[in-house]
Amino acid sequence: MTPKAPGKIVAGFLAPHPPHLVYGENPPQNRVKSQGGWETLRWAYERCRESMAVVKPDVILVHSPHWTTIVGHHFAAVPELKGRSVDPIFPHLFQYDFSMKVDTELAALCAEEGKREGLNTKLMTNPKFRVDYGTIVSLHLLNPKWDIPVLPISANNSPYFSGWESGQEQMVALGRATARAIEKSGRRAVLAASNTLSHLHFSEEPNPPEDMSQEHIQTMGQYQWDMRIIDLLRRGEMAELKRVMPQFIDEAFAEVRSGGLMWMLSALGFPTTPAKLHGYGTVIGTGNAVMEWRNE
Amino acid sequence: MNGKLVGAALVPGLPHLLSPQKSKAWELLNSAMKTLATQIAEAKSEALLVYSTQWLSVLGTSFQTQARPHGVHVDENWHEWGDLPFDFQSDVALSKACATEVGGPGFPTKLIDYEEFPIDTGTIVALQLLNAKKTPVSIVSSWVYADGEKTAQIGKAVATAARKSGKRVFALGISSLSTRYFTDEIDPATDRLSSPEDDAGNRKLLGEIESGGLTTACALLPQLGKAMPLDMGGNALHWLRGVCGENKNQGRVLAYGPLWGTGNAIVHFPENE
Repeated sequence: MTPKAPGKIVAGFLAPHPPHLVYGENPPQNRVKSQGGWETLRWAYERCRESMAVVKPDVILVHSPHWTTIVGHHFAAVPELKGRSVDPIFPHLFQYDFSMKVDTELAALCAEEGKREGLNTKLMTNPKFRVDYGTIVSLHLLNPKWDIPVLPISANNSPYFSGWESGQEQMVALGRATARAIEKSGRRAVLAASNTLSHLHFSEEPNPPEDMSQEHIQTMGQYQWDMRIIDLLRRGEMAELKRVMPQFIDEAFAEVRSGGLMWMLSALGFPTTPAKLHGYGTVIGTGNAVMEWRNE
Repeated sequence: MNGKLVGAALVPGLPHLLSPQKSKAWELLNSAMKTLATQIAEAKSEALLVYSTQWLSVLGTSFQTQARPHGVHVDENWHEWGDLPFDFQSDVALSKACATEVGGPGFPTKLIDYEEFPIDTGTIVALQLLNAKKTPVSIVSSWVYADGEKTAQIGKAVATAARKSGKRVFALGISSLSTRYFTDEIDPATDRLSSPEDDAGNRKLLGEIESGGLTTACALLPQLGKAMPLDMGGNALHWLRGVCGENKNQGRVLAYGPLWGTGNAIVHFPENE
């Protein structure tokens, strides 16, 4: 038997998941229809889709803060997951019929390599599991045809539970484990960190929700933080990024606290090459950047 | 106002409660839920008003108005323990009336009527144990931007709606106390509070609920919250304070114990009107 060529992470994306972006696009899978909206972010995702067509991955791994686990890091390991996902926060915008093929072999490898890192890992094998909307939104926006297998990964709540440092240490270890698992699998993999940057929402939305005359960042402080983080990522300044991250999280209530960004950057070896910014925009007051790290 | 609140309770909403055979501690809590179910039935409740810290909302407070939520839920962490089927009738009129009362003082509200809307684990577990009679249910979300005082005002408003409804309404606050979970696999038979400090904090809170009542117990929350993680900052207690009123709101602790290291109690607040 011919040994597999080593697998590789071919690209990573910061892939925020506001359901508004799917709502604004009006895909057939979403039962709710809009008059558009949030175009700058949706155009940013169009550029990601162009990149996906170039790198031609075998699998997309996504780390979502809306699949929260308490005991360990979980990997979806059901060959096919399907159903309807209704967003519990914005159900009037997102009622999405999903169907995804899961790379269960890679899930097992990730869980195994995670254990080697000393992490508690688990395979999720319940076929009735309802996939969270964060996972679905990021995956749809990267690949609306759903013709590439996926691997959803839970967000262990250690960054919230154990504090920033030990929580992020786990995410860094998870990133290393993921990279080794991909190498062993022989897959060409894309990673998606499903995270918004600053994450304070408005408590009321305009009517209709896609009224872009009402869309803006919630506070100037959030905006300034978002720009600072994007700038660091565009310059590949990883040490400074790690240094300011706790302050960013505290002051901007940043969703990256859930670990997806650190997981991805770790798997990519904390790249000092500049990230490509595809676009930035706000969604109901939150700050969202769509960014890419090409790795070949 | 011919309706009345015929009682209230604080209960946990973790799936471990449905597996009492795995742990003596869980069995104790499960047994207290059965006792509470009897008390709810004896109060001749015509509607259950439910607030769960596991149903989070951003756009103000949400109210479930789907007539008959049903389906199968799988817990996102304890998915290997099996499915959580649910099927209940909503008290749509009460939910709408609650939204009107809460919106009166200017709080944002939303009615939720969507097929396959994800009902949270806490609500499903509590209803499975407490609502065998299939009493209609009105579910209220936990608004993440509401502090304790706002949450108490929301509780007060839904209680007003309950009184105006003409029905006998029982209120349930579904929440743990301390939420310091064990983050590794444990043998359920050995489950205990994950921290002695949390245990002491929970006991202090419960002691105050029994002796002084919810108002004085809620006054302890800011200090206790500095030393231990509280489920949504203890907002379920604030909500119950609003529901029960600021006076004569002592409760009786039916059971207290651990669920995967967290602190949980079943507390009954009898009718005080």
